[in-house]
Amino acid sequence: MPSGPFTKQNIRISGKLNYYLGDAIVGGLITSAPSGLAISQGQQTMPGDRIILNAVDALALSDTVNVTTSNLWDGLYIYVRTKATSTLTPTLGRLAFWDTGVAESIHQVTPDESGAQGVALCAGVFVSTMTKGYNWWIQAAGLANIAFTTPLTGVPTDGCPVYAAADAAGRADVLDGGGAPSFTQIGQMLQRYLGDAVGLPAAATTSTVDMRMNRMFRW
Amino acid sequence: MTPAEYAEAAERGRSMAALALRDDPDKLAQVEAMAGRGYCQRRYPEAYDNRNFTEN
Repeated sequence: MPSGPFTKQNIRISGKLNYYLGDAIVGGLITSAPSGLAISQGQQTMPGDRIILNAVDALALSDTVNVTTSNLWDGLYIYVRTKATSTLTPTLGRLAFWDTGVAESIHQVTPDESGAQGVALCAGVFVSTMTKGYNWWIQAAGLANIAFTTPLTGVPTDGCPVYAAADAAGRADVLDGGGAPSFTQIGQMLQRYLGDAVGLPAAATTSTVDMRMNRMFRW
Repeated sequence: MTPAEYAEAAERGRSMAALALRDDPDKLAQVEAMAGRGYCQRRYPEAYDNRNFTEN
């Protein structure tokens, strides 16, 4: 183990953050003999663990060869489990929602917007396309790549507020110029607010959004 | 997050990046090109374990 001022056993990740199907077992399968045994390799990454990356850390953990359009940036990332029986597949740039059908300690998310909460309990955004049921990192705050729905409800501008679209696909929407909201819609805007666009978002594309830390549901 | 939790999360992110860089010389070169070798040597000393350390 390398030296350093670690407050916890350091994390050896199994792949780059934005190009990995996830850990089949919390912390990742062991890779030396007996390889493939369905036990954790013993690293102390647990669902709910958080890391904060600066811009250089994010580049260090980005796969810039296989993922040329969605590198990582500064921000807060959470290690979560994905729902094995979700309808949608966890996909880079799509939103992740807390799955309240399991114990909170599992920190399970789902790409589906189903359930009584709809898109209210947004956990963050997937930074890698994953295998359902696997464990990996999602981004909860900071500059993130987020897919936008089509058509957009409002008129997109650089810096405009961005909301979860509730389009059953885990994408984002803009509402500016979309008309006067009702009280119910104002409540939905509070629930669905993700952050502010960085650059000009466009329908059916992935754009950058500065996600707010204070939006978080769980700490 | 409390300040202590924030600090721990930031340190874990840094150490994770350091380990990734130690295992990937090409990525280390890419990061050095972005931030400078001096910065990388100070921030990620683990990445330079068993390497020829050059101050600048």
